[in-house]
Amino acid sequence: MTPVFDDKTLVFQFKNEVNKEIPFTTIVKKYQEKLYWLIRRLVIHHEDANDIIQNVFIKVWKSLDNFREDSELYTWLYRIATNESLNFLEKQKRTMSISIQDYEIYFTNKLKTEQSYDITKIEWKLQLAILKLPEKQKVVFVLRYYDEMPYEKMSQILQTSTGALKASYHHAVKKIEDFILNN
Amino acid sequence: MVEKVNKQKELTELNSNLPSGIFENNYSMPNNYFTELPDAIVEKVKDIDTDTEAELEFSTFTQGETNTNKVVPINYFNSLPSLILDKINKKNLPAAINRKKKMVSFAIAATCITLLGLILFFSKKDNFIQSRNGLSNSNLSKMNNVRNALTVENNLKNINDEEIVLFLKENGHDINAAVIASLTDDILLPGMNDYFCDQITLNKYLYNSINQ
Repeated sequence: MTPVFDDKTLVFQFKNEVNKEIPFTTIVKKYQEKLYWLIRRLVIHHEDANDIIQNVFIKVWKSLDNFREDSELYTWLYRIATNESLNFLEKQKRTMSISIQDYEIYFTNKLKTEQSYDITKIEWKLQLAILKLPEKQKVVFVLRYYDEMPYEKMSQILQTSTGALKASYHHAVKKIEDFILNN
Repeated sequence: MVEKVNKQKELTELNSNLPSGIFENNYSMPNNYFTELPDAIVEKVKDIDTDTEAELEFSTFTQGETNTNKVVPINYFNSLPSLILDKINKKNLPAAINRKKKMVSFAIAATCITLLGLILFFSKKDNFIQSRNGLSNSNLSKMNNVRNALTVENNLKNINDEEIVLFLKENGHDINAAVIASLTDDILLPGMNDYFCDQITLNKYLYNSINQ
């Protein structure tokens, strides 16, 4: 049976052992799905999500030796993933040089190309509604609604107060409800 | 203390109809993606490490000593000062040319402004002079009239009654009317309070004054 190590042990092993691959691979396997779905819900396309998640873990490989452990590993990983996703979206906006509305249409069309896309299903309506939210509010909603992340941890990831995050989430819920009702 | 998230409770508090259930992730993705992802990432980080090692080997070959961090071409520091000077000179040349051009354009602008200023000044000066003359042409006569009037008044004081009567006769004026007018002195007129008498009394007073 493969031993299950906690994050602190994995970080210690990575920093102190010659063979860093084993603890690193363990970290990737442990967090890949959570991080992937966070990224995928923001950027929609699998290819983009794949690029971003690989960049995230490459950064982790390069920086884990210097990780100060003043936050949990999982918070740190989520922060990198969030920043990479938001940077990607920002870069895409600039490269495309289109209006916000066209940008929303672009992502909506991306979503509609999914094989199992079915507008009658609530899951897809939710996804469409999430696309309408501002970037940071999207992240807050996805982390809270899908990952059920506590506000305290979200605050460490997004460097925002818990009060602001609660307000952001509540606004997001209302907007999504309105969208679903009207569509 | 970190709260335990109760999604359903929170949504109820928000009066939200959003479902609190867990959804399957409906997005399409390659088969065995998560199985293969860790290996793909490890391969990539190995490539990164290999590139770094290749850089280190190159620097060792060129420098003849172990240099763990930097890669520097041969004779780099010998040629660096002249490289820098070349760049500085190239940068300064267009700057110098631009500066000269700027000075010339400033000089031209200053000359034009000066000329315009002079033109305006002289045209305004003429207008000013004209207006001064105009002023004297239109108002000087008035001033002279006033001066003359004052002179006349002074001269009148020096004329005696006989001369006045003679003048009036020669010019066909009614001497009696002139006498009456001269007698009607403001000082001799009754004061304001005296006019509180009625109109008839006033008329009588005036009649008497005239017929004295």
